Amino acid sequence: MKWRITTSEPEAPPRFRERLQTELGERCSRNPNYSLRAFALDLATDHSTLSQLLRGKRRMTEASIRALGGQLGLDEEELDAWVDAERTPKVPPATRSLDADTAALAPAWPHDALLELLAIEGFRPDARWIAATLGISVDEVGLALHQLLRLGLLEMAAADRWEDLLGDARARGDVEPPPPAHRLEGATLTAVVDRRRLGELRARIRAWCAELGSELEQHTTRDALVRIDLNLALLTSGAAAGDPDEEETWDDPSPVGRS
Amino acid sequence: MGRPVTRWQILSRDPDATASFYGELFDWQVDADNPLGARMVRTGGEGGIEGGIWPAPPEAPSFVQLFVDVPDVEDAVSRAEGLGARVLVPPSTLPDGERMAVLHDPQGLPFVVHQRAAGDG
Repeated sequence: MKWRITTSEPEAPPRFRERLQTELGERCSRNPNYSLRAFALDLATDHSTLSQLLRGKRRMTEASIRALGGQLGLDEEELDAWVDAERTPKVPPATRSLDADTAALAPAWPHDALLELLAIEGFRPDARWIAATLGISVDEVGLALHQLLRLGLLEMAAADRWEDLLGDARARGDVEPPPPAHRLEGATLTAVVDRRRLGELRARIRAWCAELGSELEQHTTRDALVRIDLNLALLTSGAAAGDPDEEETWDDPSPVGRS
Repeated sequence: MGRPVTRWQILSRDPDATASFYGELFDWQVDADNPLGARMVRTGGEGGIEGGIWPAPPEAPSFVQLFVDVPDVEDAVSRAEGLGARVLVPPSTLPDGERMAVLHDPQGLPFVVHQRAAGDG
């Protein structure tokens, strides 16, 4: 399951894993020739270890932070801060967090759809089949495959076995419009509301997403791929919008942390 | 044992236009009926090597890659990295059983190390 989240609320303090992911995304943005393998080389580690660290499959130890952070040129003070952050108790996220740069290089459509498609019954590692299934061109599939391989989000382990290395993930950033094809249901609600209850609305959306995510994971038959979009946008500004500080805030956890 | 260049590949911002251009100019035959949907190019005649056309990433200009046949992709990648190359796409197994990896040489020129499928002479 892949989440793309746009929110104006601050996120929890990042861990060193996210610092690495951000660095990789920035380097890939600056240099089209850059990749996970190149990043591992620059950090004087092997790509398998780095991939596991980024995916949360390997524990980020103090030694790892100091070795990798040292290669990034971080000073002792910064390294101490990252080590302290790692020690801070935190509910482990159930999902991998994708930084903004990586998310921009591999936008939800069609990259998330392609990765999720690997789990569908009857999946065929064939660009023509993927293109026909998603309703996109074979060239679009080829480009998405290239980008996912380059970013270490996909592995072609064998001729008939492709692996989703991203897994359950969330990314913050702009949520692009949904693909036009195959729309089943849509609704837009525009209404005047109490600004002080916007936090309540946000919380309800998150709770609903979390509930729906949990429900979808219970599906034992997996033969269809869907995308669900839900947006809450504040359309008024200036005097009519009142004082933003009056907005009620809720401490509801992100739905993806519970999925 | 040699390490021959066995294929070239044009990465084009407009693969269809590129295929049309070279098809008309040289009468090259293009066939994309394969599991990756790659446009495989038959140049005809004797003595040359065949090629392909693939979409270029949005952030890159059109360019050409050479495919070098190797007996073991992982070994070739390790040796290349030792000589200063950087891996763009790690060793991957294609649907037809071939293995390949995309690298950049120390001057930044992309190339592909390619291993034929088992039993594919």
